[in-house]
Amino acid sequence: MTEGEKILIVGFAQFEASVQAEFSLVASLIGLVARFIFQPAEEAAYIVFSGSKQSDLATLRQWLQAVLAIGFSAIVFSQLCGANFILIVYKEKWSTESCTYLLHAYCIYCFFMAYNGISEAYAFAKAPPEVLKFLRNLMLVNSVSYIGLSYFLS
Amino acid sequence: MGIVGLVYANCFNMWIRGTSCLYYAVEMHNTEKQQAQPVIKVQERSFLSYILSLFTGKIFIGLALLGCLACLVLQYAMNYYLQRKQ
Repeated sequence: MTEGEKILIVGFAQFEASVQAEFSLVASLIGLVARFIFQPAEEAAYIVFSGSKQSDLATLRQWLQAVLAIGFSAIVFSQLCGANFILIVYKEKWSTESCTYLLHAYCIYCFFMAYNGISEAYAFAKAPPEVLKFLRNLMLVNSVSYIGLSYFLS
Repeated sequence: MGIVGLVYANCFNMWIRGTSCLYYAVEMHNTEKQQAQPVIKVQERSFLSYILSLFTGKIFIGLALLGCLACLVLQYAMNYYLQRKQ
C-alpha cells in the first residue's frame, strides 16, 4: 500500500516536488504515531483476542474505545495546534497552509487507522477460515478501489 | 482535492476494512450466542448499537476529554512560546 502510494504521487498524479515533500514530512510524522502507539496496541490486542476461546465483544469495545479516543485526540490536536506545531518543530519553511491542511487530513486518517487496526486484529484472531478468506479478498478489492479513488480524488 | 485526496482515499479504505471486520465480529458473536442456547431466541446485538456504544462508553469519553484537555494546554503553551520568541 505504501509503495502504491509513492507510485501514485510520483508517477500517476505528478504532484510538484514541494507538495511531495510536504506529504512525506506529514506522513513520516504521523507514521511515528502509528509505529509507536497503534502498532504495539494492535499486536497486544491480537494476543489478548487469540487467548480467549469465545467471542468477546466487551473486550473489543474497550480496546476500540481506547484507540478511537487517541485518534479523536489527534484530530483535536491537528485542529487546535497543527499550524503552531509545524511552525515550532519544522520552522517557517514548512509552516504553509497546505502542510497544515495535510496534517488535518492525516490526523483524520489516524482515527480510521486505529479503528481498522483493532477491528482487524479481532477478526484475524477469531474469525473462521472462510471469513478470513472473504476478508483477504475484500482487502484485495479495497486496494484496487483505493488506487481508483486516489486518482479520482487527487 | 490535490494530494489531500490521497489521504481521504486512505481514510475511506480503512473505514471499509474496519467496518467489515467489525460487522463480522458482531455477526460471529450473535451466531455463537444462538448456538449456545438453540431453544431460546437470543436477543441479537445490532451492529449499529455496537458502534454507538463505542462512542458513548466511559473509556472513550474519559480518554477523549483527557486528550482535548492536553491539546488545549499544549495550544496555550505553544502560543506562549511563540509570543516569547517574537
